[in-house]
Amino acid sequence: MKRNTLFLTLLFLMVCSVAMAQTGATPHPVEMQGKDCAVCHAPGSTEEITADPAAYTEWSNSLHGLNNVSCLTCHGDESTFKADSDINTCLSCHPQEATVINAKVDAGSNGLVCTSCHSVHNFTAAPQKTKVHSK
Amino acid sequence: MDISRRNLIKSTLAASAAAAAGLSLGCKKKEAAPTTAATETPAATTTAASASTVAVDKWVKGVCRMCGTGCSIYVGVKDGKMVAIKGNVDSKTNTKGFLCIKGMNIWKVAYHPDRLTTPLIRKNGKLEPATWDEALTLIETKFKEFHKKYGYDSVAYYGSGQCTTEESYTFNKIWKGGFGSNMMDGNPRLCMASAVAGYLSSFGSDEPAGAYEDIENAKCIFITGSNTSEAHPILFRRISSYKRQNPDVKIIVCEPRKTQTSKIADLWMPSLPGTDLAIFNGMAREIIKNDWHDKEFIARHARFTQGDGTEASTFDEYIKFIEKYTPEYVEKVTGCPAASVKQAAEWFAKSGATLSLWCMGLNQRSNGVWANNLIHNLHVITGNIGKPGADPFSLTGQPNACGGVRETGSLAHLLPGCRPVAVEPWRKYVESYWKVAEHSINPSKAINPKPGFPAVKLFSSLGGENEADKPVKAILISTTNPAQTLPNLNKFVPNIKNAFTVVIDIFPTRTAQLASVVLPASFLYEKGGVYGCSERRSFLTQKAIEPLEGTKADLWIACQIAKRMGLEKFIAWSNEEDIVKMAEMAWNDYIGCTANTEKTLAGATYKRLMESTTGVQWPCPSEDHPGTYKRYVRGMDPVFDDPKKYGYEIPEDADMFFYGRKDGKINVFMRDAEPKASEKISKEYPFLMTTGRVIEQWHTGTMTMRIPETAAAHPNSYIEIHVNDAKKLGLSQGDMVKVESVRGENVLPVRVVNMTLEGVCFVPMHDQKGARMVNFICNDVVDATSGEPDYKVSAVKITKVSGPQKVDDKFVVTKSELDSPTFS
Repeated sequence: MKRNTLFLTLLFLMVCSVAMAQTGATPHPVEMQGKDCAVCHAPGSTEEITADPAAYTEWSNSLHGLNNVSCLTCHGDESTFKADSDINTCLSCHPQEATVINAKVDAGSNGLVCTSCHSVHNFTAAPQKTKVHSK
Repeated sequence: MDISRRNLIKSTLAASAAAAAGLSLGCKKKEAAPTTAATETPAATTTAASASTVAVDKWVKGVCRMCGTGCSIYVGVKDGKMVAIKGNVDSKTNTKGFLCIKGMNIWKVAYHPDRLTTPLIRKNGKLEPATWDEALTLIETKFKEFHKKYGYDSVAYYGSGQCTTEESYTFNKIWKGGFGSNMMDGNPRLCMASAVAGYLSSFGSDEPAGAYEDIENAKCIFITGSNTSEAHPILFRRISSYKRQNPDVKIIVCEPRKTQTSKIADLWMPSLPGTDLAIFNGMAREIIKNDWHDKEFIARHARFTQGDGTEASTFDEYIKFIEKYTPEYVEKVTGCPAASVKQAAEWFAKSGATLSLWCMGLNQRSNGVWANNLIHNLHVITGNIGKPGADPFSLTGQPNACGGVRETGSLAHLLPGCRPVAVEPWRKYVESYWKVAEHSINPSKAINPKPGFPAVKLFSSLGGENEADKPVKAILISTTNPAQTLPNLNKFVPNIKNAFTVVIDIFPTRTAQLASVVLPASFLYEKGGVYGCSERRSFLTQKAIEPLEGTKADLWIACQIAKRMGLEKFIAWSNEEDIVKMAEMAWNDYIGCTANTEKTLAGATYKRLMESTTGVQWPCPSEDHPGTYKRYVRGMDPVFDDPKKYGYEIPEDADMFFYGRKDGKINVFMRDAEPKASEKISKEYPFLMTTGRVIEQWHTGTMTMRIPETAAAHPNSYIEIHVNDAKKLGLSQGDMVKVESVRGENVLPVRVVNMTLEGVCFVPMHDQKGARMVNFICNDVVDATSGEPDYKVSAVKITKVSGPQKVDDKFVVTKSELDSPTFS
């Protein structure tokens, strides 16, 4: 019985991990308890567990910050949370850039990654001699 | 990373849900070649071979339905299901294909388990499942009974700026031509009716002269009554990007709250809610005082007028009229510093090309039409019309308020071509085009010359058979939610409940809770159709997937009602089986009807719209015409090529002519700034409350509260209060307060802010929870000309109820709550 339970648990975990790898969804490091991201991530947070305020400040001063492209837009809510955005997230709003890339990019194991050039969370990239995203 | 069991299960569930919906968030397959995007990038030019973009069978062209911008999209379809969205890089609206958080998640709406999938009929107080035939038979029986007992005006239609043009046109034709009743209106009455009346009274023709293209040609952009950054985020991105590349371009923002929009502004002009007309008159005074006005433009194109426009006046009289609006007086009335009025006037007049953008902040006001007129005044006296970058441009809230409702004339006082039903020659033309004498079921065999009731009056007049003072007994409501969106809801909820109310929607809503019959509708991408956005551009959404089982397109429903009411031949497309063919036939009938108006889309055939990746801007009289960027200018506006065809006379030597008015001039009105009927603060109600949108939500949240990301970003309404007011009231962040007007109340959590004026508070409009539905508080006073209600100015009192409470419940009305409409 115990062996069966162990087997089923392992099987469950395996299925979970495969499913998670396929979807890219990962658990948020702490339970969010319905709090807005800014509660912990913004500078000056008085929460017990605070997050990296530098990232928030960088985002806030970026074009994403200016244009209200908020945390949830790229990272999802707690149920769809992704710590690292993949190219599909970027594709929705940057169709040109996500499909036309005239540069060698180290894709790594996770496919093309926009953040290879566009550093988070200010999203700027070093100027290139030739156009990177034009047709 | 410490993964708790709860989170693991949650993640797994999320993964399963995503997989069930066909969503692949991180698959590594190469993107499939697009089947409908003709101009897609060839894979060979990229190194994107390793890109793990979403694998789809096809990308189908469409338009976003979550604001009035008209963002062009491609819907990714895999195994017959929508799995992704991407922006259209060829788009003229969302240039480079940018989308906001609502647009990029819009497809998820279709697969929410709350989708209605069977007709419902209320029996003994409960909405019971029924067949389509049973539901349509009941509607037919009731409509016929009421027509006979109470007359043709006893059965009303209430539509939406989210119905497709084909749907709105069909319902309009059924009601006005088939039933001989103008008792039909729509939710655009609540959002842009004042802009319509503003353009009609100033220019004699509705909708802007310019287009979004003016943004990148402007030297000064004057944004007023609009939090563009949240209500039209993709247009804001265009403006902010342009400003970043052209720092010399001046951006002026005039509104009571210092919102995100002000972040790119060179000047923020605060104004107490309801007072900005004084600012506009003050700017005009300053412009003329400093001799910054365009004398030649005024001499050629301005007609000064007093009162309602019938009485001609002079420039000198106008100068006398605005004399009292000194910068100091304006400061006293509005709270806007005198120096800011002077600075704004200078930039506005001297930039070389000024573009004004406004939205509900001006329209949803008891003096909304006058506010619109005063913006037009500023453009006329400075000559900021008819050249690149210069235009008074009204932003529209809904994706098809312009194309579907204004242009098809689907309001109580209009006919197709946005011309008044009361104007006999046009009415007779439409009667003849529709062959009303042959087909109408009304013995008059004519279109009624008397306008029907605008929205607020319509719902005031709605009631049960036992209510003698309520002449409207039945209403068909499509794609909108008046039991949440009407102001002063306490007054209207019983009326909707007591009447025979039919609701067409995709989800359970507050209105569905009160309905006698609920019909489950197909989602936009399950049927397709044309939307016309703020800049006169019509764009076809192609049907991407089959409708969810059990649902039907609104157009099909309209056709079934037409057939059952004896209008089978009148609505020629009612016997067509294929929904796309049905829509094409309706579209052809519409563009034929309006071919001889300046709204002409005769050149925008379905075939052209199917092939186009940009859509078409009217006037577009023929298939070889590219569409029109700028109206009223010879060489650009095709009306100048053959004015008689459109019923106008244009002198041959006129390069610019505002043909909507016979003399070709624009009315410059003398409109006093004193709010006619806006609510004032009092000792008992000392705060002015204003309402509006947030970026993550759309209207009543029926869709956006069912998208995990947008729901999480804005799970509940709140009230923003200035930090000094909070101190006076002893309030801290998150405290619960009762917000009360003379009409109703909410209980809301407090957000203490410093970006609003003292004495001014703000509540978003999206929450469905009864105690947080702000329209219980709002005023149902309307603009006397446009009939649009004043959602922007309500006098309220605020009292603390308790400390912080957890209210982020992301509340939505579910199927199980359809029979228990608790509004608390």
